[in-house]
Amino acid sequence: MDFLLNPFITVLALLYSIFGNNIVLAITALTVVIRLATSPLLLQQQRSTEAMQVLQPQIKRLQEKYKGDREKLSMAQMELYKEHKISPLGGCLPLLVQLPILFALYGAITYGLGATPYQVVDLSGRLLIPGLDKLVPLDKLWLGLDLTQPPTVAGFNAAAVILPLLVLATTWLQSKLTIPPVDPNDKSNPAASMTRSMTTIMPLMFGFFALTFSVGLSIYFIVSNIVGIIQYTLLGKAHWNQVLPGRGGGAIVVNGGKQPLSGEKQAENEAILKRVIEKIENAPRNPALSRGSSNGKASEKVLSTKPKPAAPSSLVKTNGRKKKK
Amino acid sequence: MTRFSGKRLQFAALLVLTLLVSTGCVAARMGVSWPSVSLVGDNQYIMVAHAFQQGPTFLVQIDPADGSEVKLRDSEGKVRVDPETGEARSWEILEGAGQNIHTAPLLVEENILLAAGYNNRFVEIDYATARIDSPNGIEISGQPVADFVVDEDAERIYVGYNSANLEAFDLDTLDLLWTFKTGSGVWAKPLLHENVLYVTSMDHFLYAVDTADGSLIWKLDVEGAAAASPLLVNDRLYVGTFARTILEVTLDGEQTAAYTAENWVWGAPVSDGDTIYAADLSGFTYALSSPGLEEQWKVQAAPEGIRPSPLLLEDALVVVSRNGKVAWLNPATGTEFQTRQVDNEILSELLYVPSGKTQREPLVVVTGVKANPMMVAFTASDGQRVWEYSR
Repeated sequence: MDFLLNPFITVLALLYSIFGNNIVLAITALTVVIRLATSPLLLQQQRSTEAMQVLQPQIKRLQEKYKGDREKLSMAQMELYKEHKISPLGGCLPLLVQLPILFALYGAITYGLGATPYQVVDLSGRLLIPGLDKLVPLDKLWLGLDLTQPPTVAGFNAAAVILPLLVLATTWLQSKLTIPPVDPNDKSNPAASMTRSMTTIMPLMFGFFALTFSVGLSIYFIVSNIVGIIQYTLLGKAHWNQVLPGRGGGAIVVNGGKQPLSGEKQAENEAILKRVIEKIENAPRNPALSRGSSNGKASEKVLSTKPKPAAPSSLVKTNGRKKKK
Repeated sequence: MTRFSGKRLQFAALLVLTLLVSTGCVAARMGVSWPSVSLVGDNQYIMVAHAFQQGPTFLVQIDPADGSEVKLRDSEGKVRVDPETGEARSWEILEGAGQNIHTAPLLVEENILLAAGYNNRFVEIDYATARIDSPNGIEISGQPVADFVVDEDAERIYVGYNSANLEAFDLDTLDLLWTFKTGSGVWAKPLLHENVLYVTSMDHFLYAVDTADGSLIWKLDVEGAAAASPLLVNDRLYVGTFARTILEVTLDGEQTAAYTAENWVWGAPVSDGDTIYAADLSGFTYALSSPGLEEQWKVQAAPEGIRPSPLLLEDALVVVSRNGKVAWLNPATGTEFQTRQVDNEILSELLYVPSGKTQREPLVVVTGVKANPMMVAFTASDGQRVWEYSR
């Protein structure tokens, strides 16, 4: 991790020097730089999420059609993604790529603001530009607050209320703006419950972090959230209708917040779906998948390891009995 | 692959991030300092004060003869036995989290051990019974991380704080006498010489402070944080800094020489009168002339940094690096003539234990931040491993 962490710490110290030994401006600038540098990843993640969202009605139809047959459902979903040239991991991989960057940024703030001997000893050798050592220790006081301490360290004060609230509010706003809206009453849709969790738990969790972690980290959270909101807004990806009254707040957007699909596009999607279903209906079963698709019900047995001609899709061997689907 | 596998993975990734951040696995080092080690009392027992991460602070005494914990004794000298377990009771103090003690406790009277907690308190400990008489202690205005300085008459103590400032207290009453303000922390034990305190600070200044009233006599910008105690040799002060320098300063505050090291110099330099020895956080050890700071030799004694001061023995210079390598160097040439390895992270000062009541041979004691083995003793002369102490 040092190969990533040390440059981050160096850049933080450099920005600290450029901004007249103001650590808050340095953290802000570093956060902005990182957020801008990771914009392409963010965009890719957002596109992938939206594309998945557009496919939801078709996925739902597949689920209804192949209810109780997980193997076919799985194959159909994969085929649908393939036809639409979507990777199901497309929304996740950019996030995973961003994780080390986030760790490094967090580490840079932690090391850079090291307040005790044990923390500062780890800073030695990490500043890659000669002369930056002379900046150590970075000034950790801002508006009378010690950036290395939790806001509550001096007892209950205004900062102890304002900072967590700001973290909570900006995290909530960013979640609300960036997570594609789904119908919260749709119990059958796992995305709905996940969305509810994300927009409720995440802000509370980060608000709690702001109370218990250093003020410097809270500043990073706030700046990062604000920059994220601005980024999404400038890219036209922010769902302001979710939070602003009179802008269609509460509306369920099933097309990733875009304009409704044109008739031509809908027809094309229908054709793809039809093609996928036909393909699945005519496809041989995958014995490997069959073994693991019991779902708590009677499992399908593979009676022979020899290759067999494809069985008609309406008839499958189930526990030695013929079962009509 | 189910319908929302991508989102589930995202959620899982966020949870992992959250867990890593909240558990401090990313980079957060929540520890304050490393173990403090010192010799206490007539028996010259080794006093250790430390707190493992998330654990309570402990003060314990080790017998340098065999590395065993010193036992509590009653007024007749018999070892006290725990009535519940039937085992002999050790001289040990356990404190709650947040009450960490990072400085060497000081035996101020025959039976009173004065310690300073990181929770802004002086604590008085009954040395005979290992009991804290007043758990609330006496409030002070900072968190001490550097050892106290006691004046020659044992009337006053001077205490530096982690965030900033140095304060003087009456040793009898613990009343505050004066406060000397610094721009950042005082992490090293000040040097007391002829009623003047020479104080290094993380605010990049070396201060000369009048002990009478805490007034400033002079200050010198050393252009880097200074966490090492100054050394006085040949009427010159020698100071290591985080600006990768070792400076020579007159007692009037005039800089007369400077030497550039490879990395931060954290440990205080040591000297035999003619030569200054110092080590840095790149593992280099230096021998420099006094006065003048002309390089006599320079060797990289370890691949990792050397935080504590070198230990100068009669015919050896001992250094210990962060990765636990203990090296005996020839003081004249810097040649390494024996090494030992301790399986621990070493940041504490090396402790020299002279031959005394309980052991015959002088020892070099190495103390690590982790529990096992926390402390290893070597014979000073030939580096024989004598004992180790674990918790």
